[in-house]
Amino acid sequence: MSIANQVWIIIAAYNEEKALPGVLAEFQSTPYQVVVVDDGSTDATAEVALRYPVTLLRHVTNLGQGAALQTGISYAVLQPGTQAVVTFDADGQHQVADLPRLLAPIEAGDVDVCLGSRFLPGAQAIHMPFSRRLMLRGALILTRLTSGLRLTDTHNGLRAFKLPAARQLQLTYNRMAHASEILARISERKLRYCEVPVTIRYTHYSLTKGQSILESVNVLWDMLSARMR
Amino acid sequence: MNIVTGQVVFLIAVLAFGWYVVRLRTVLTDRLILVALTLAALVAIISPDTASWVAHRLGIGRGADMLIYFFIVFCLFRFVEIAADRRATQKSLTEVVRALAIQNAQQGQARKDGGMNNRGTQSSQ
Repeated sequence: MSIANQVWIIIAAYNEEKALPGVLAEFQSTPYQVVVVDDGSTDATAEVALRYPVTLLRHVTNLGQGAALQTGISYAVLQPGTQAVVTFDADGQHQVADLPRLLAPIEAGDVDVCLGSRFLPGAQAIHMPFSRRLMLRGALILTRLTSGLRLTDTHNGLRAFKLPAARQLQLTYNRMAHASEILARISERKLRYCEVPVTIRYTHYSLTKGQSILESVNVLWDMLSARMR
Repeated sequence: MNIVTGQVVFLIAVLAFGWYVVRLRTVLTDRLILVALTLAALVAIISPDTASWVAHRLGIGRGADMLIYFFIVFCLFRFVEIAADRRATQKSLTEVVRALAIQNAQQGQARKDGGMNNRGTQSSQ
């Protein structure tokens, strides 16, 4: 039996009233449980989400994507029967069709964490700008140096965690450095991980909502300041 | 480039400070440093000659120059203290906001396919 109906999809949304309906509509015909974390949006994100069969958690103030994902994860691991949690971006860049492939290694018990990669053979990165490719290269090298993980894509928002791994995540970087924090956690807890090819569809919308290359400065800053006492 | 003793001393102070920030900070040592710096400031104000004498020994020249250096170190110290406090506050805020969000979980519309909604608490029409 498939574990699909015991899988929680975590969608962190900040001012995503435009893209969210498209994403949630795609989940309607799937068995997955969906939790939307509205990260203190000032638009109709919450109202939009409630039109779909989802659980909605609302941050009363904006904390950042890392915090929103952790809220969703904290909720999901408390629900009875949960087998796995998946992080899924709200802007429509991920494909629901990639989920079975992402969950298969977890279901088979081979790994604790399965990460989506847009650079593996078979993956597609549709309309990816060159600057993005360059930035991700840099992140890759940094990750290899800091965590020792050999990955092809370090900042892919599509990831699946088996329940015990999800419990161990405990993300503390509220903003965008959580991507690096997840990898650090995999490394320090010696979680078994794998990557599977997934398709990322860059749209004008997802690019304007997405991270500029300068955001990497913020990420580094967050990581360094977290070492302060 | 002509490096004087004072520059070396202050360079070491700044580096040691970096180490202190990352590894050694406690509320007690923070306060001790604050008291020491305040006392040093008092001495410099009451007795400018003492400041000049110390500055001279360090090769900095004027006592006023040395005060600027001290001021910089002092500001750095306060900056770090405030930043760390801010981080701690942010952490508590996150916990509160998260707990509220989870407590007030809302269910969206029930599924149209006749299946169970999330958590199986609401069945659809």
